[in-house]
Amino acid sequence: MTDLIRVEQVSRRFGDGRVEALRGVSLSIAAAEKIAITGPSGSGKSTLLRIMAGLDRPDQGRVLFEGREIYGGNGLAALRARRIGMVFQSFHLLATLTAVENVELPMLGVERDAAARVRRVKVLLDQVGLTERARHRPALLSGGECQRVAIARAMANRPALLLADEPTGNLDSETARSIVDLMLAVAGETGAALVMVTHDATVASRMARLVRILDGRLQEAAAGEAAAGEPRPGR
Amino acid sequence: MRFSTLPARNLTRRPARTVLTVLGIVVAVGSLVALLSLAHGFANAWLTSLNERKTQLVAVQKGMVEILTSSLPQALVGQLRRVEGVASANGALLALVPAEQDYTMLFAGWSDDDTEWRNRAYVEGRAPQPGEESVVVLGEVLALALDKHPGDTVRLLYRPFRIVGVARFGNAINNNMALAPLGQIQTLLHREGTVSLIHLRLTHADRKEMVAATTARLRAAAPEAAFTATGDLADQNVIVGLLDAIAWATSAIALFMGTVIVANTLMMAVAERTEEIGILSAIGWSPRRILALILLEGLMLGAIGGLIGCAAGVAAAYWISSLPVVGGFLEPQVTVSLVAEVFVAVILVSGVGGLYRAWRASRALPAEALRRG
Repeated sequence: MTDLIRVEQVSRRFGDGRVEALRGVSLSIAAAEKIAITGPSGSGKSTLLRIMAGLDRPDQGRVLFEGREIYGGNGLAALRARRIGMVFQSFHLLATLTAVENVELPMLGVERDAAARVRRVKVLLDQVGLTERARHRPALLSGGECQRVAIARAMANRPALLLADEPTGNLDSETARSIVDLMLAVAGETGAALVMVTHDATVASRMARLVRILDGRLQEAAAGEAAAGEPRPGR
Repeated sequence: MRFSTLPARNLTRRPARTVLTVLGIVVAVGSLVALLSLAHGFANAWLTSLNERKTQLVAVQKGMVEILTSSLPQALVGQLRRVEGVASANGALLALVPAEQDYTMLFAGWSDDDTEWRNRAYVEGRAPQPGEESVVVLGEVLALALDKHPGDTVRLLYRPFRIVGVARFGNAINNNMALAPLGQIQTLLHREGTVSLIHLRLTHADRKEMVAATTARLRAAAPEAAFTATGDLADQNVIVGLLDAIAWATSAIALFMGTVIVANTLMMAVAERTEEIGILSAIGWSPRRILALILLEGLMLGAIGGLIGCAAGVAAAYWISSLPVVGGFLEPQVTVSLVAEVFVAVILVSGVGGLYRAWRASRALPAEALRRG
C-alpha cells in the first residue's frame, strides 16, 4: 500500500529542550488504515498526533503527506482544511456557535456554495445522529453529543486522514463505544485513514493496527496487547 | 452561516464589554463630529455675516490679528468714498458685550447714513430715527430668545436700551446681534471717532483688473488700513483659526482614544480566545482568514460606535449651540463630507487598533494556542 502519511525521524523537545517528547520517531500509515497509538501519560503520543496533523512543528525530522513535506511550504492550512480532520478529547467546539454552525465552520473557506455547505452539514449531522439537536449550542449538549459534533466537523471536508486525540477520554464507556463505532463508520464510509490516540485498551483493540509509544520512542505492538494495563491519565 | 456570523457572536458573547467599548468610540466620535461641525459652523457664520452686506472689500486696521480689536478713524470712511472705483463705504464698530440672561452678544454700530438700515427686513418695529438716544434693533433670534419686542427695554453692557425694531438676517451671528446708531456705541465703548472696519462696495466688482486697480488706489489712500476681499476675511480671522486648530487637536486626541479603546478591547478579546483561534487554525483556517476575522470584529465595533457617535455628535453640536452662553455664535455646520470623513477615520482606526494583536494571533502555532487555551 502507498503511504498516506509518513513520519521520518521526528524529534520534539519542550521546556527549553529539557523535556524530550519525541526521539527520532518514524511511522508510516497507509490510506484507509485504522491505527491506535497507545502509551502512558507524557509518552509523546499526543505530540506525535499534533505533528502529524500539522499543528506543531518538529525540531528534527520531517512529515510527508501523500509524498509531500508538510512543514516545508505555505500550504499547511489548506492541508488541514481539506485533507486532515482532527477530533480532540475536550471536543474544542466554539461555544458561541450552534452544532450546525460548528460543523459548517471548516467548510467556510473551502466550499463557496452556501447551499452545498448546508446540504453537507445536514448529511453529517444525520450521520452522527444529531439532526434533532442541530440548533443547540455546545453548552446544551452532552459530552457524547459534543464529540459527535466534533466528528461531523472533522469529516466536513471529506479528509483522507482522521486523527483523534483521546476522543473517548471524557466519556462513559457506553458512550465511548458508540463514538468509536461512529468514527470507524464515518472513516470507513469515505475511505479515510483513522489514527486514534487512546489509553483505553478496549478502544485500542478495535483498531487493525496498534503502535505503542514509550519515552518518546515508538514500538509496534500486536493488536489487543498494547494498551492493556496502562493507567488512565490524571487530567 | 456567513463569515461575519462569528465576529458578531463574539461581540454579543460579552455584551457589557462590547457596550463599554462602543460607548468609548461614541464619545470619541461624538466629540470629533461636534467640535468639527461647530468649528466649521463658526467659520461659515463669520463669513456669511460679513457677506450679508454683499460688499467686495473690507478695510481693517493694518497689523491687527483680530477684527474686533481693529480700530480705524471714522474720518477714513469719507476719504475712501472719494477713491475712484468705490461705490459706497460704510464704517461699523463691533464689540462683544454682556447682555441679559447670561448672553454674550455682538453689538454693532452703523452710521445714520448707512443704507443697510433701510435694506433690512424688519419683523417688528423699525430702524432708529436720526438723533434717537439709547435705542437698539435686535436680531430676530436674539429677540425671540430674550422674549423682547419693540417698546421693551434690554440691558447691554449694563445700560438700558429701548428696542425700536426686530430685524431678520440671513445667518446665526447677525440674527443674534444688537444694532445701534454708531455714535451711541462709540460713546458706550469710549471709542469716539473710530470704527472697527469699513465695508466697501466697488463699481466694477465683476472685473478683476478693475478690482485690483481700485484696491491699489485704496491702499495708497489709506496706508494704515489693510484691504481684504470679504470672502477671505473668515479664513484670516484669528479666532476662526484658533477654534479650527483646537478642534483638530482635540479631534486627534479623540481619534487616538478611539484607537486605544479598540486595540485594548481586541487584545483582551484575542487573549481570551486563544483556544478558539487555535481551534480555527486546527480545522484549517488560514492565518489570513483568522486575521480577517479579528479585524472584522474591530471594524464592527468601529462601525456601530461610529454611527451612534456621528448621531450623538450632531445632537451635541446643536445642543451646545443652543446654550445661552454661546450666544448664537456657534451654529453647527454638519455636512455629509464631514460625517463621512469621521466615519471613515474611525473605521480605519478600529482596523489599525486590532491589527497587531490579530497578526500575532494568526501566526501562533495551533498546538501552542490549544495548549494555552
